[in-house]
Amino acid sequence: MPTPFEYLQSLNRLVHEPARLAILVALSACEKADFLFLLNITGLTKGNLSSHLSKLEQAGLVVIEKKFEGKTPVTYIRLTLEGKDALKEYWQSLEKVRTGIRHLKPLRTP
Amino acid sequence: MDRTGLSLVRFVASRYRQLQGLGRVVDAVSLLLLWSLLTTEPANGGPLWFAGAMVVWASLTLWGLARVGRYYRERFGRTASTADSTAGSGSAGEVMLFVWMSMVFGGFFIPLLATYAAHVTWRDWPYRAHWMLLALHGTVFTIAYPGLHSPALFALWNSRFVLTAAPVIALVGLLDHRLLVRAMHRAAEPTPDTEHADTI
Repeated sequence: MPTPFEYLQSLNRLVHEPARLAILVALSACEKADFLFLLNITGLTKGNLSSHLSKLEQAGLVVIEKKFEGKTPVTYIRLTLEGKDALKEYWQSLEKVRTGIRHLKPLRTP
Repeated sequence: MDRTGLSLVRFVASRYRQLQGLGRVVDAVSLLLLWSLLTTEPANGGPLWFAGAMVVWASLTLWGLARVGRYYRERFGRTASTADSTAGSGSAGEVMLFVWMSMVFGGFFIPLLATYAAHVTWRDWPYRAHWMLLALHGTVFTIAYPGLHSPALFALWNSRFVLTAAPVIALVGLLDHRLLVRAMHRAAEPTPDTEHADTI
């Protein structure tokens, strides 16, 4: 049986990064969100958010759609099925780490 | 971002439209406006006066709601949420429907208003605990319902209901708005781990 630390090592690093995790959590709670909303909810700068979204898009976890609403350009970001699965697996791995750590016995020092 | 921060992010993203509380302030003003128009109708007003008043009321309400919607879209962005669309766009629809129905049909819908507010409180606990105020208000007025056998008593009860419901709805809306602004403001504070994108 793998140890909690092995589970910890197997965590998806792409999801584990705090800013990307916040983006994925926000997107998992709604159908889609625009760039401005993610900017506000995550507190990232435009450049950082853009950079994180590019990485998530390259990994196939999100889809970025650019469209016009009236005369206003709006960039919508949507979580893909892979993104939903990756987030689910991430929470499951964290849960395994948590459960594993609970069963650890403290080392006895002589 | 800690676990509390993440759960707040999740909550705000799923209930974004419902948290646009300035819309409730518009609803409250609209309620007072309608009540004033209905109670101050001149004796010789006739249907034309009534129709004109309704047009003014509906135009002002729709204009106010549109302005509020635009403010939120431009300030905080947009989301499309299944929770928002299925659970009612912002509780506002339901709340105002119950209030209008109560005004028109003599208070029978107030228990529904109280139950709905209690449901929102329970569903979104602890973030929207302030909805308890509306539940409490509805409960108090349900208990104090005088019945329809005395028109004078009913008119007094109805006016008290409207005059107190409007400030409570506005207050609940303002608290929803504050929750949204604080959640966004809190999220917008840069933390060391969000200042620079990593290289993964």
